[in-house]
Amino acid sequence: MFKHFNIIFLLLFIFCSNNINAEPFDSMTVVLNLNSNFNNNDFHNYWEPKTGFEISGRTNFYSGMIELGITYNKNKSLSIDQPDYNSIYSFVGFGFNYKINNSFSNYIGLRMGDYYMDFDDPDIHPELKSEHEFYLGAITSVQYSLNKRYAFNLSLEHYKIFTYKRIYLWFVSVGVAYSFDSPKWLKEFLQ
Amino acid sequence: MNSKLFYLLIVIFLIISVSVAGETTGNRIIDKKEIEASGITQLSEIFTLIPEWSVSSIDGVTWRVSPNGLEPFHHQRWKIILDDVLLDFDFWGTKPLDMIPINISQIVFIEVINIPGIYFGEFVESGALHFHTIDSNKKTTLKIEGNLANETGDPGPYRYTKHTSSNVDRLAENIGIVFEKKFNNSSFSINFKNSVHFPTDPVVFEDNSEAIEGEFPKQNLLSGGIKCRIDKLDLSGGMSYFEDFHDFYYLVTKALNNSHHFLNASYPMYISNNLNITTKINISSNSIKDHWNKYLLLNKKIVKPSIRLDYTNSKYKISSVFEYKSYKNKLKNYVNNDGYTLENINIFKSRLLFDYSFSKKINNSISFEYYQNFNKYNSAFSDKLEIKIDNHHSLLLGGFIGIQFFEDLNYYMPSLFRDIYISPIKGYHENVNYLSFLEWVYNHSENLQIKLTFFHNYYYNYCGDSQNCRIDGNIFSNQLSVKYNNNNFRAKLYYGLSLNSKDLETYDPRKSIPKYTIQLTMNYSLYSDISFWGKIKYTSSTFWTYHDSTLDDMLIADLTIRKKLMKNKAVFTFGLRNILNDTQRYHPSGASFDLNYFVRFYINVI
Repeated sequence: MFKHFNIIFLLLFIFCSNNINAEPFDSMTVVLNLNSNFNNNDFHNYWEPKTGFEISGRTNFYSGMIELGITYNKNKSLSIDQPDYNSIYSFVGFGFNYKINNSFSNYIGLRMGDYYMDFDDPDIHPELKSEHEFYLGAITSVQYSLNKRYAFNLSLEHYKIFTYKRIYLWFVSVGVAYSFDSPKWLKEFLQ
Repeated sequence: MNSKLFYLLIVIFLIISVSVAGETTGNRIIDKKEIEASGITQLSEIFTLIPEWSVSSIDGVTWRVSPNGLEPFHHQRWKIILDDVLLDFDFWGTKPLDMIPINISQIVFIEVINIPGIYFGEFVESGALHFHTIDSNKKTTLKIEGNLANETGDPGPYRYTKHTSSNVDRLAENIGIVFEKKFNNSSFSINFKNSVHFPTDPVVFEDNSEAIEGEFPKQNLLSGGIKCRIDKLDLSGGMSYFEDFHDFYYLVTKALNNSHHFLNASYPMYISNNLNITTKINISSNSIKDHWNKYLLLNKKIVKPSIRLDYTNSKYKISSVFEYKSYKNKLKNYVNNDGYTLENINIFKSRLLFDYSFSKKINNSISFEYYQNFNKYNSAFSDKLEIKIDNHHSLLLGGFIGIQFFEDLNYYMPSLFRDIYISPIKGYHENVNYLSFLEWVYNHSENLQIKLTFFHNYYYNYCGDSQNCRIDGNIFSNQLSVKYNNNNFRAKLYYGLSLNSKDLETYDPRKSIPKYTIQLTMNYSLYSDISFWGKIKYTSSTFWTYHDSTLDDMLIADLTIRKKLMKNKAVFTFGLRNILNDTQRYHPSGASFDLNYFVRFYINVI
């Protein structure tokens, strides 16, 4: 099923791309989520990603939305041969927001960024204690508006990390989104 | 089949061309827009924008190139010119471009010279890169730039499992700052940059003895430049220090620290409307602080005063350069090839060079240039005929003969280095190169330009002793480039076909040229503040004679996204190189690069 995910996602992405937004950077949405990993592959024979958190900001950008954010997870080792490590995903993304009705909206987007790993290994060479790797991600989320500013957020995220042996991770995350008009200084910076 | 198609294309093109109507140059221009759009993070990456030059690199940072269709390992006679000043910047054939003390944001354009001739008083026999950095009319400028980059394919957490693999890194971070100030009749600029690279690709890594001992190669480059103009007097200077420079380590099994300094002053005097005299003095030094210097002879100081005379009238132009060049190599406890010991010796050489060129404008559309230089070890003759057929078409044709003798270097260098750095074929110390070229330029409109270039290289190597070691052969390089520019969209298509004569020996290094090279670059501005740049390059399989191995063909695709910020005061660039992850190979015994990614920023503070 996951094999065809990229194609399905791309089709959805194109479908949603017709949505036209307001002037760039007019409004902003800050999303705070708790995430949990739920897939199982080779990676999970060695580590268990613990519940983490994500903070991101989205703003309308021409026909879509751009987002910037970070996700943190601690990866607990399942054996003494492997150390625990902290991972931080810092990303930039682009996607589309599709309004289903007055209460529900759907965001679908692509992310790319840097996967930072910090190993809890006192014996390792200092140059190798931390490492960076590129990753690609896809996200789809449903938002339920609680009022004009606040919304409940449920997301499904998929990440491909470009290590020599690739790492594939799926996350489900829940949290809140807060929307507001962009402050003038931020708007001027982004323009 | 493909070569037939190529020639058919040329014939059709020539037939069309004759009936239509240009500008002829032996140059390519890489302008600021192209440099910024491609997201170049360091000067050496500029070669990725010059498909006309054949290139090789062991690490993606130091490169060996050939501008005239020859294999890139051959002696590096191409030159680096910075704002009309020739930089004596050569570590036995390796020219680490990143050591040039300028920042990327200072570059206004780069002139890529393929055709032999005189450019700004300097004779270029085998190509040159001329960096132009004189900038805007703004009175005061302060620019900060930097980037972070990484190569994918690291082991990540799998390092601790049975799936472990080597750590791979190619690029890391650069930071640079430029300050420029302009006054009424004078200007001043100062810049500084620091780059750090971690060339830990497995092949490079294993080649480095320091790495084997557990050290991680970390190339650290510190470089700064200063430039000022007081009325007509130009003064410039720079220093670069490269820590862990590793282009020699497959020879010396370690990375070396090298540095380069230069100081230049030039003053033009206008004697009359026709006669112009320019006096110049250039002092430069290359040095390596390591005992290997006594073998590599890199601690070289050069003092070069010159006087150039240009006489021009309506019909012809005569230029002559009198140059006195002195070298000083300091050697300590040096044991030469024959076992002689030379202690605390200064090798001092001086040469008086005399170059002259004559160019004549036969009529409004035909001009002719003849050049000759005299040098004991390296003499050259070239002539060029430029014909402007009409407003759309121009034609450049000419020839070049270069003769190099290696006697002096043979005496000083141990055979290992002589073989690799002086003559690519063991034992050869006389080298004659005949190059003929033809370039046809068709400017269809202001937006569309088509260029066809042919190089025919005939090479003759002779060792001069009783062995039968004469080698000669022909290499034909055929290049087609089509350039389209408009406000929002730019594209450049390059097709190169290289043909070797069958009489080249199997292990002749000149066979190390890919037969086919195709490169397409496109730049599209989606909105006023956001643009995309993409490149796709195909190189056919290549037989690398030095390593007796065949490199597979490769398809490399790059993509860059740029976003302007702060009302165009800042630019943020994100780029992916080698998206298809078709391992990028420049050198069979060197590194192979996977997907790379980088972020780059540039802020115009004042």
